Amino acid sequence: MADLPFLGAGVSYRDAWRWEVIRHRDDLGVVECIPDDVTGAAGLRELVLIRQAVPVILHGIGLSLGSAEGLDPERVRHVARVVEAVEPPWFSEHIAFTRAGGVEIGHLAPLPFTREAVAAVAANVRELQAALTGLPLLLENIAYPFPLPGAEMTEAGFVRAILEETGAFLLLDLENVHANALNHGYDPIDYLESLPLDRVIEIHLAGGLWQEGQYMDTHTRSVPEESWKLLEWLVPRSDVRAVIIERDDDLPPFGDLLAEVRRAEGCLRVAS
Amino acid sequence: MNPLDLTGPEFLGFYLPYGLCILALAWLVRALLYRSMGAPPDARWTAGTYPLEGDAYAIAFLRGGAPEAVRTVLGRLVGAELLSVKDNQVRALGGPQSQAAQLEPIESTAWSALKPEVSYRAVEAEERVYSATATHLREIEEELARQGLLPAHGWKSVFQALLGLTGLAVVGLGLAKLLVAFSRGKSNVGFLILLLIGFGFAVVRLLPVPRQTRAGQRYLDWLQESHRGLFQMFTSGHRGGAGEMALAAGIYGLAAVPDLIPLGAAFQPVRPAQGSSGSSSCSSGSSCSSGSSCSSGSSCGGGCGGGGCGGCGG
Repeated sequence: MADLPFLGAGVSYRDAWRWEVIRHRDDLGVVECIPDDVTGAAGLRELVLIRQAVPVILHGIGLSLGSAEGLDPERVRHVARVVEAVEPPWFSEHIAFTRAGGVEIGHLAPLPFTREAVAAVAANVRELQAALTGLPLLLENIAYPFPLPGAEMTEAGFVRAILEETGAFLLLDLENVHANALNHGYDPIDYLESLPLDRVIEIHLAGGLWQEGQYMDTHTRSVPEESWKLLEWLVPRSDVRAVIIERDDDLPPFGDLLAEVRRAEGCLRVAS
Repeated sequence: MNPLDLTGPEFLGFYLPYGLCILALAWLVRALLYRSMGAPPDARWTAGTYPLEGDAYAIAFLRGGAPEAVRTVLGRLVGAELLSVKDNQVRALGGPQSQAAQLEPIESTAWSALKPEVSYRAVEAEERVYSATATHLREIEEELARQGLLPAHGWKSVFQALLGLTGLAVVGLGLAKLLVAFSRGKSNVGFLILLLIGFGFAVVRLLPVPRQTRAGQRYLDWLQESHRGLFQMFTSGHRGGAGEMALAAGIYGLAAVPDLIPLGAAFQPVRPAQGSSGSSSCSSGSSCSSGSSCSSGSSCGGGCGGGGCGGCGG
């Protein structure tokens, strides 16, 4: 873990920010790109050009690590190709499934907190680790609208079991923690305290919306104060190497995003 | 054997392979020379290293020589609202003091070269700025050569010598034979003239004195590829800052920046009206009058929006 570089704070990459990212390269410690969005040699070349300006980390969204049917070999090969071109310090994916029975469901779906699901994720992670030969792997907690029945452990216990089983590190999405705490009525600090915080390498921050009585992590708003407070609590208790501000829609002026990046960088600096 | 004493068919039989061999050899020597011009290991500008906005003039110089650098400076001043362009006339404005205070030395020298509130033809403004910033431009050229992006003076001489010697060996021999043929009263020299034209064209095409070194060309290619986001920002309607405008103009030419298109157009040759008996498009005080705009070829690809550069013979 000590070998993983400290990158600081940055943003999730969007095509609309292609020039802004390069222009503000000195203000960004890192940019997170989604390999699923990279198509063809031109897409790979584009990533390399971005990496020449700012360190790039890769964050998968479509490997479906929770699928009992295993990984899609073509998707794994694609990720391996992107990893080879970009040479990131680590790769991250979600603890979720996006495919079932060969059908893409189009979003990150939660897994039941069961030993069987832990085993399925662990098998897939091992396959991915073999394909990415030695690249450290981070797994991310997701937001879920309702708990699936048949749980054999808590959500934190589920995450902990997967990390122990796979040796992977944790990408902690604090906005997902914030959303889950609101929607399921628990204390986010209690939740964080029950996680293996020494395994946290990367943090995601974003902003969401209340929709039909649920707080949704929509990545369409500024990071709420509650998530900033979680970051301030977490950073001194872990060895965070990167914080990413995520924004998928309702893209603000890049300057607004940079202000959030600077705030996150400030949190990291205070702790160090 | 004196080839000049050969009969016509014998000479042609000798001259064609001789010329081809000399050309191939010269081309090979040029390629080796071109490859041997390396950049220093600690070069400031290399493919993969993003430039600063202030590097725009060096990039423009690399792309198209001093005239492109001058036009990029003018573009920066237009972006900073310190110059206006209207009806192909450039006018220095009082401008926002905050902008004037932020000018780099070359920009402030250029701005000072134009009297406030006086309208100049674009080419006239270019010439005034060119003269005023000559020292800055020389420094830029020397820095680019130091960085291994432009051929150093000695290298240019080597390429010029190769071009001259090859021309002498191939075209010179053909011309000499032509003179001998005429002196002997021969007039059936059509094939020889055709070969001469072909070889002359080949010498010029195959052995040009390179504007940039290989590292310089690579850097330019990389800049144009890596700054597509900047280019797209302008084409999608965002105005950008004056520094960004200058950087885009430096990399792609004035035509890449919508706000600078009128400035680029002001340097275009004035086309004579159809059917007029006027002189060529280059005689009208166009960019060709500066004697260098068209020498690069690249200014036509970037800064010029129309086909005016085709008339420059460059």
